[in-house]
Amino acid sequence: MQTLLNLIRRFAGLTVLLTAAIGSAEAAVAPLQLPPSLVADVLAAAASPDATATSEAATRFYIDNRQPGLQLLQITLQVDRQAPIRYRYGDAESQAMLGQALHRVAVVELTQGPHQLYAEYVGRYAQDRPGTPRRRSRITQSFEQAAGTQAVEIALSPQGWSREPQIVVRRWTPQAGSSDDPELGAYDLLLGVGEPLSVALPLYARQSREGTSMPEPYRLRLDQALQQLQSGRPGHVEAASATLQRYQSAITSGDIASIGQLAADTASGSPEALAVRDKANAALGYQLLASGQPSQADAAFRRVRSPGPYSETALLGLGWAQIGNADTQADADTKNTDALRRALVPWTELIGRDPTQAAVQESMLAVPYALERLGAHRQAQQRTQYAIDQLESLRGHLQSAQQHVASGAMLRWLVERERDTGDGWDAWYAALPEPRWWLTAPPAAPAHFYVERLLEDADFRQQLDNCHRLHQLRHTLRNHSDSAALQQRIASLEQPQRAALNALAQAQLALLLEQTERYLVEAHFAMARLHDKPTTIAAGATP
Amino acid sequence: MKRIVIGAPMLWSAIMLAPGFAYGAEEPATVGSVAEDNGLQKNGWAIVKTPSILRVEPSDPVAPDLNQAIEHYERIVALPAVDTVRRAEAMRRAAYLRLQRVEAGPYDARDVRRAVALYEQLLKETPQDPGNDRTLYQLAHAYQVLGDGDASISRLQQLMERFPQSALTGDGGFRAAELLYSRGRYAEAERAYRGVLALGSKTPFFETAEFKLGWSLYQQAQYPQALPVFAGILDRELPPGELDDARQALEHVTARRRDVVGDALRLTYRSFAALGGGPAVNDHYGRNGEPRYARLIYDGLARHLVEHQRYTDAAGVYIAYLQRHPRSPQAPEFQSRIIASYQQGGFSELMLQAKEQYVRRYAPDSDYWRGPPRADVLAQVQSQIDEIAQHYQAVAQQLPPDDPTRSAAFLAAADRYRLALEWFPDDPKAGERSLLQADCLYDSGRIAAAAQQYENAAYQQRPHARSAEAAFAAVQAYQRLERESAPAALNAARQRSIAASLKLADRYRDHPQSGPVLTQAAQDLMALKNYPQAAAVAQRALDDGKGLSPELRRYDLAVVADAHFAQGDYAQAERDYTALLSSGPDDTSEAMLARDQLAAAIYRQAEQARDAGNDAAAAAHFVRVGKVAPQTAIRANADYDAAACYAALKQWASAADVLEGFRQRDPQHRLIGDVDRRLADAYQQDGKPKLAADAYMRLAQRDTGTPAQRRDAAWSAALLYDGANQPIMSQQAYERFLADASAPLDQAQQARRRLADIAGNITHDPQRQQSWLEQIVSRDRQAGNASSDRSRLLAAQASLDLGRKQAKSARQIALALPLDKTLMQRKQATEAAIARLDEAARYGFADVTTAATFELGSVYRDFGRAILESTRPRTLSGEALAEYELLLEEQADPFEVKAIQAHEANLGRMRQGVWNDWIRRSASALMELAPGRYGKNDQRDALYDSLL
Repeated sequence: MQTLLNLIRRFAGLTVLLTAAIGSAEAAVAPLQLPPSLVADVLAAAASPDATATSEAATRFYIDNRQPGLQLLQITLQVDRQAPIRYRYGDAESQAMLGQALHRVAVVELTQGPHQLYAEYVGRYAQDRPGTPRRRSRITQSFEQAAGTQAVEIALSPQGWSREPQIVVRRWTPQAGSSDDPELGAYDLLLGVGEPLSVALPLYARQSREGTSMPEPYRLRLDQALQQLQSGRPGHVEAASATLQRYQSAITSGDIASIGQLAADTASGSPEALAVRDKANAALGYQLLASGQPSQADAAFRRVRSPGPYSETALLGLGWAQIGNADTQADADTKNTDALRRALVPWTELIGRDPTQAAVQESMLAVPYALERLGAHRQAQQRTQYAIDQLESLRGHLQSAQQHVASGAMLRWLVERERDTGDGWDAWYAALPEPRWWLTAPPAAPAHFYVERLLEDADFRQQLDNCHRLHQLRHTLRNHSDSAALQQRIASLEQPQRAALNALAQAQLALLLEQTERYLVEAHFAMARLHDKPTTIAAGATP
Repeated sequence: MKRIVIGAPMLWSAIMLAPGFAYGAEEPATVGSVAEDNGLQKNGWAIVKTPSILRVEPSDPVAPDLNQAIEHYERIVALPAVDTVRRAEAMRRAAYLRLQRVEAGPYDARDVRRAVALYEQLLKETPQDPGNDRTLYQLAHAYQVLGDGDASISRLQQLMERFPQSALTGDGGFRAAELLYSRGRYAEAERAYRGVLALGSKTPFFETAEFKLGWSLYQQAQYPQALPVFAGILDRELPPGELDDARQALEHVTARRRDVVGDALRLTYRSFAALGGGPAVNDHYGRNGEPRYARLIYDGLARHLVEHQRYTDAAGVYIAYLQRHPRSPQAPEFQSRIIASYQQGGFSELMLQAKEQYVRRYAPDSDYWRGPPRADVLAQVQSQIDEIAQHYQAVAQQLPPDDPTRSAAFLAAADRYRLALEWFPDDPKAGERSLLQADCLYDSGRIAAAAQQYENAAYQQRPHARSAEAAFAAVQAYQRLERESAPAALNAARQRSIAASLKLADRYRDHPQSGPVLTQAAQDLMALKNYPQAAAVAQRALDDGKGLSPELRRYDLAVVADAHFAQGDYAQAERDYTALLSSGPDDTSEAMLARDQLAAAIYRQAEQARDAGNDAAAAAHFVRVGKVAPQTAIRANADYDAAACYAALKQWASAADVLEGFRQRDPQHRLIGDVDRRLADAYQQDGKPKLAADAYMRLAQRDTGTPAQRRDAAWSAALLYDGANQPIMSQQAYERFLADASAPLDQAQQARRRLADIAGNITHDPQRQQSWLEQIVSRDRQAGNASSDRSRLLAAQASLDLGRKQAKSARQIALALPLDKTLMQRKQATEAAIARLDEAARYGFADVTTAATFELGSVYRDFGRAILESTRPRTLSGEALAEYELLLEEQADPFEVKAIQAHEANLGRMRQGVWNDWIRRSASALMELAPGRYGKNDQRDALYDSLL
């Protein structure tokens, strides 16, 4: 017990960090409110009737997901012998398509007559385990293109008694006053994924053409798009849900009992609830460790989902709990050895995980600590050296990351990145670093490896969204040379937002750097202590 | 909740592919499940198997590597300061290990500098850290390794100020103090040492700090403050009890502390020495009390000063001690150390004073002694007083004799000896002291007292090695008194001297100087005219005396002889003198004197005999004088008197011998005139005319005596020479006689006559003869009326002779060619001869006249004959020649006539009754010349011829 408490004290600062990481959820960045005039001006400047003209003649293909619970992951479409169009759906798109949204996958010039259509989907259900194979299906169908057909819907609908999703092709021709224009669904999808400009521009043009005679649904969508342009996506940020609020109040009050309640709550299965539960379990576990109840801490840690956002923290804590448990056993030597071995089990799991996480960094030190005490001195030295190497390189990466941010590369990369049209994910997903890039020897981090960490912060996401909106607006005007003043207005609004984004990034990186340096200092210290065994000095003062 | 594992893969995949099959509410994987999968059981107590990715491999502990540790700590320091605790510890350990590395291996200044930088930074970053005392300490150590002592000192001082309770304060403070001390910042070092001492006596530095505190105070020249510190050390470390000797005391100190104690003592000495030595010690101890080892300090301080050649100061220390403890049992030792100090320093004056003090203070009758005096001190007193006296004596001896302080010094020495005698009468050295005292008195001029003291030393003290010497010295003293005494007291002095000498001889028979002493006594007795005793003493000296050099022996013999002589026992005296002379070399003045005396003795005996009428004996004695003592002055007298006696005895030969001897020995004697006279007389009497003549001759030649005497002597000599047929000598005598111009004429003429004869007959010196003859004539002429007949006769004869000579010479001039010349010559010569002959004839003496006349006739005849026999000129012949010859005959004829006239004149003198040979020869000549007239054969001629 004493050992455990000493160890916890030794890592006291880090534990605070961890709990702080788990605990904080207050949003400090508000969505940027753009003046409507600005938006209007932009739309006025950017929207051109020509932009929407082309869409009248071609045939639009839509994907409709009617299978409840199926998350579409990828769709492949081939018309005749043209190049197949493959589209990967991002998470937001899949979620939106679970609702009423449709995906306009292609706009193809089709002649009248028979055509071949090939469609394939890949999807998964929400409750699928990671190892479960993806759901696939394909269809090859020929159809006859008639005049006036403007849209082809390819729907996934449950068929048959097994309710498996099947691909069904429907054609649609626009009819006056009909409200089932698949384009609306596409607009919904775009609004759902946060692309209001793609909605606003054609609708604004249409409105400028039609004025008040624009049908209601379109007007509704335009309003929504304008709203989104002005204020950002509603519900984009994790608004503090009730559960989360309860969690936050419990954390700030330090009430273990309420945290325990939250931790044990298995009622709701929503990802958010599950995440809060994990969070609560992890925090509970550390609180129990600090208050000297390692066995309960053990139980709390075990409830945390793995893999998950808090799995590393919990694995680490589980190890400490094993050591803490040892103190209550009988025989000293064996109990210590056993405890250390038991602690090594979860800690071993952490070997090779993301070194930017605090728990992983701590495990880099905890494993050699345990090995040292188990008598595997050479192994401990090796693991410590490995930890030092990892942390040193990570520190270097973080410093270059700071430079990356300072030089504005992050902004360019995050905000100004062009989206790959074949990919529904956010642009920067495509260029994510290799998974477990830190396992290469030497660890080679791409320049933007840190972005993944930064995006875990809600403030950062919000700020990014602000910047993104402004950038989109300005970007739209890039081909309109007479909108220089307007562009300048947008730029002047963009400037502080971008600076704030950089500042947030730098702050996060500084925190990461500090954390890394702390663990690095500890690692060096451990290594130095291997070689330097100071004799006991009177009064405990080290020379 | 456990997962249900279904084994058959086909079934698994079938289930997977079956449409519509929903898992339902599957539990997601949790940490717990992961851990269980990895082997961790839920209840946590089963055997645990660590996953394969990490097998625990026990191994040996890692070998500690200093360099690695330093590297890692430095890395922590290089990283930004995220963890102040760790950073501080890393800095501390890095610096410490760097210093260790420096200590272990080759010196690398960078390590030390880095360590210093780390410590400084640590202090800056964590100024309030309670572990900073160690940091400051280590930093100071690092600075010291770098050599920056000042920085080290300042850090240690900070340590002391900020952490007075730290365990390192003692160590650090001590180090700071040592550094300050080594830099010469003694005041600060003193403070630091005091600080260390304030921590109490349990720190391991206490003793060293105390010691160094003393040193710091000493270096600051704060001696009064340093002394108590050292006193504290000494009090603690020195063995208990009163202590005297530093070396002994140090023996009892533990070896470990010996150096410190030694240093403490040394610095105590130096402090006292700097404060002024002895008086300072007294002062200090007067104020602060005297420790138990005070004597050690005094003694050690004095030795220290001696080592540094401050001898007077060293003595001052002892003096100071004695001032405080005059009655201490160690006082005599200290006093003698004072003396030794002065001696080493060469301060003879002060040493002397110190010795005097010693003697005064520790004399047997001084008031220092409570009980009986200590024997060793008394022995020291004795030796000191001896030394003092010897010193005065030596000093006095080196002063020049006219220095007024000389005698005072001697008297001082004498006084000391007196004291020594007074205090230590039974000491074996008393006699010697007495002697030395006498020497001093003597040298100071108090001869009388010295003499008394000498006698004391010699006779009254116990016999000692120098008793005899003292006796001798007494004798010498008395003799000096005698020499210097006023004439009135002279005899008394002599008596005393004699008494002393006899005493010596009596007591110290074997004294090496007994002989000389007795000799001197004999001399004195002689001076006192106590001849018998003198002789006795001298004899004693000769018989028993030791150390008689041959001179003295002779002197004694002389004394004996003199004594006998003085007593009138000349015969004994003679024997004595003979013995005396035989005892030594003959060429000394004493020998001469002795010989004189011997001669005198014999002379006296001769006189006595003579007075008794025994001339023979007297003469024998007189002669013996010459035999025995031939070189003496009296010998001449003796010889003379001997000759006189012989003359009286008519033993002319002996007399002559004696006189001859006299004369030969001493031709310059004043009596030589008489000697010669007597000698001549003796020779004459003895029938040795020549020798007599020699004697007369000598008389004549000697310029003593009146001219008349000499003339007479010459005359006598000449006569005797004539009688002895010594024509040469008589010539000389005559000449000598004639040298005196006032010689009577007759004798002078006679002398000349003889001289002429000698010149003519013996020496064949015609010129001289001529001259003599002429002188006879001239003198006679000069005399005029004063001339006597004799003189005239001689003159006449002289003229005659001159004429003869002249005639002869004329005769020899042959008339040869050239005729005119030779004729002239002949004529002159003839005329000269005729003049002479005429002159001779004029005197009127029959013999002479006749002879002259004869000669005259001869001359004429010769001349005529010569003309006839002259060489005829060669050119002439025949008739001319015959004519020439006729002329010649004509010329020659007158001369023959004159010749005949002359001869006739001679004959004419027959009528006067003169008949001598010349007349006869004239007659003969006439017979030849004028045979007609005178050519009668007379039978009587034949008779006369036969009678003649």
